[in-house]
Amino acid sequence: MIIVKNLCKYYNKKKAVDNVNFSISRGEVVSLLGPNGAGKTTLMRMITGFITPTQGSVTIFGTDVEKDRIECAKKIGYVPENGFLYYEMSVLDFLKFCSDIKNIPQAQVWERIKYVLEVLDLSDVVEQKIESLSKGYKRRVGIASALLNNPDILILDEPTEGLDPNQKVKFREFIRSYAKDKIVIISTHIMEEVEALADRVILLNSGKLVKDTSPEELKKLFPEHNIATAFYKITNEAK
Amino acid sequence: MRQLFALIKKENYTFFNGWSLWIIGGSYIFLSTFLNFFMGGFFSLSNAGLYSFFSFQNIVFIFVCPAITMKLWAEERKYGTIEFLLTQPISLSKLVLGKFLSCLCIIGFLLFISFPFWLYCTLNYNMDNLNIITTYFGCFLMGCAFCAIGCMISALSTSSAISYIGTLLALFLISFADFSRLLHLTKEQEDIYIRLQNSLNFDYHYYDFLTGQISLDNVFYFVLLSIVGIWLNIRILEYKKG
Repeated sequence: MIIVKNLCKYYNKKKAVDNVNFSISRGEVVSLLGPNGAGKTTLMRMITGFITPTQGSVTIFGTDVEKDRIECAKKIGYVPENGFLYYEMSVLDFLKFCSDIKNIPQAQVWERIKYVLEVLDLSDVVEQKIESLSKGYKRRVGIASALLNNPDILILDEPTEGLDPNQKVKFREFIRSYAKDKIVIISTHIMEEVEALADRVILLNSGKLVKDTSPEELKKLFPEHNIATAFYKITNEAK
Repeated sequence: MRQLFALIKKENYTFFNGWSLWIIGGSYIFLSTFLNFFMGGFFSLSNAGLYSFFSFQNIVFIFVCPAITMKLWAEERKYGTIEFLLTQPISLSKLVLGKFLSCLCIIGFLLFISFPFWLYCTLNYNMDNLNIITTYFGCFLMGCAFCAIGCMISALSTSSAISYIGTLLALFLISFADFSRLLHLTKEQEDIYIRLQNSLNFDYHYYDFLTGQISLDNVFYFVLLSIVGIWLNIRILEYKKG
């Protein structure tokens, strides 16, 4: 379970995240929505322990991220929005490096690598250098690295960016099955993805949590009955 | 331990599989050879300890070590890969140590490529090999300290160029800066100042190794400097986390 309590983050005097509270249980796929600069990435970075909150706390299965970042990191698989891959490495070398850094038991390393290569259709490019891959493949390598340690929490920032339609469908199917007993947090601007994947939507605007509801409930808020309109109206209403 | 080895392997993979190896290795050989033969007076000195070669290693390292360390943290931050590293189940101190140790592998490699020169001299002349081993040890320790400072400065910037120039400047200042003339000191004050300056100066501690002496205070100086560099590197990364 993730518990986010009174979370604030200031960059100088600007509030990037303003007193956000929520909790997420196992089996939930949560979509973080919000316009650019709403604080989604900052929020995800605080959950992963990459940046320190100015105030408040994040607890992951009873462990405070600030107090024991390493213990929490063992449970998290995180794919940031901007590429975090070492382009000079081959896909296989990168995944081996990730397995070592994540301290996956030696006996399971090959099994896990084979699994992620299969799930994300990467077997054809395993020997290829990451720099020579297309955007979609790079994205999949990133997701593969996050899945290596079979994390209880998967945090993905714009995960389907660059994926072709077939891959998007496959990816959504995989996330639905993966989330049965795990937590998945997805930040996206694609409303179709929110509808297809999310059990719950957390809508942020100017750092504040403005809505925490299901996609169906969000649609019902306005007569147009679609998430994009709801998103537009709520975020502009707040202005 | 496995995480540490993975980091060292990754850093050295980048170094040995790219142009860095040829550019940094080539620069090291060029500078060392040039200074040894053209400025060190290799043929005119009584050179049993390869004094002409080793007496310029401090200057060569001032130029080469920043090139080894400049991209370590600067590029991780520039390309966003630092977000990957700092969200993995590995402590900050292990990350810093892994990067630092990878630099030491490169320093070891650079010193190793000067080995044929020593071998040639040993086979053809009567050399004081114990003195040479001592000086190699001194060079390595000096390299450790330079790299620790370089890693630390690399963590301050997202630009490799700024990191290189910053490290070069810092090493140059600690090696050669002498402000005694600017301070208008009395004779007594100047003595104290010179002692203080010498105790902080790289060259002063390195030159003892050149004479074949391993004294604990010199070893301690370089080790302490490396530890301080690593510690500051960790603090800088923690500070940058916000």
